[in-house]
Amino acid sequence: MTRLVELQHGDVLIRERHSLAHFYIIKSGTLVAFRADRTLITYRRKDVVGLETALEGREAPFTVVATGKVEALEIPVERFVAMEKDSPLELRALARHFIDQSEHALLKGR
Amino acid sequence: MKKKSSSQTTANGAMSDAIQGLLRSTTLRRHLDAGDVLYAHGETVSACYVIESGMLEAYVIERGHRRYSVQLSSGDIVGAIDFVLARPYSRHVEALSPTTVHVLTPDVLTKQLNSAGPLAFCVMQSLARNIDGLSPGGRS
Repeated sequence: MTRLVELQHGDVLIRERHSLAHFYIIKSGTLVAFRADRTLITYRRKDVVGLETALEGREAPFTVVATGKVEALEIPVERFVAMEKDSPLELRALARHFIDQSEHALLKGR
Repeated sequence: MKKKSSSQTTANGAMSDAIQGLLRSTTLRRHLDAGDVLYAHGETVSACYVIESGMLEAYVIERGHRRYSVQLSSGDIVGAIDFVLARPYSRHVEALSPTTVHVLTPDVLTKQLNSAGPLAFCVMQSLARNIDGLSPGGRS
């Protein structure tokens, strides 16, 4: 079930090496993803967090922490899987391409 | 020049079923000879392309020099990030060898994205921003 998650500054949304059953869409506020004290990416309103990790059934490669007050929609990954399954071939190919590329980029960092 | 390592394959190294299906489909194809330009930086997005065979080079021109050059091969998709982010092409892409690409037109993709609903569109845009922001030569 989709629900609204509220975070305060310093709260952890995703913890490194934990597995995920949900992904998140940021409704308001910002979060940072970091690994080994290095900031990888800043997530803002409308950004999607954790989808690649949840879909691949892997452990999170980084920790994601709120930098201030944050509201995020928590969505079960099954919802995306069902949506992807029902999508036309072109859209599925595009989505899969983006997911694989995004995961690769996040794991590698800039 | 860097060879792209993972865009066309899943994390376990296999090309995704959707991309394999697309390569088997009867979508519009375009053939390029070595040296032909698929599209240039700054052009309005006219399509996204899935490489069926051959090899492309994507790069950014900075101060007259090719930078962030990447080789792309079968199963890779080009132009999709610019399409989803609704901006002109952000790279030059040209053929390194005789190449065949499947053409995915924006009208088809836009229709599909709209019918998939706001979640799909939000996810695609967010992933595109992540990729672009984290890629060498990206702009986000």
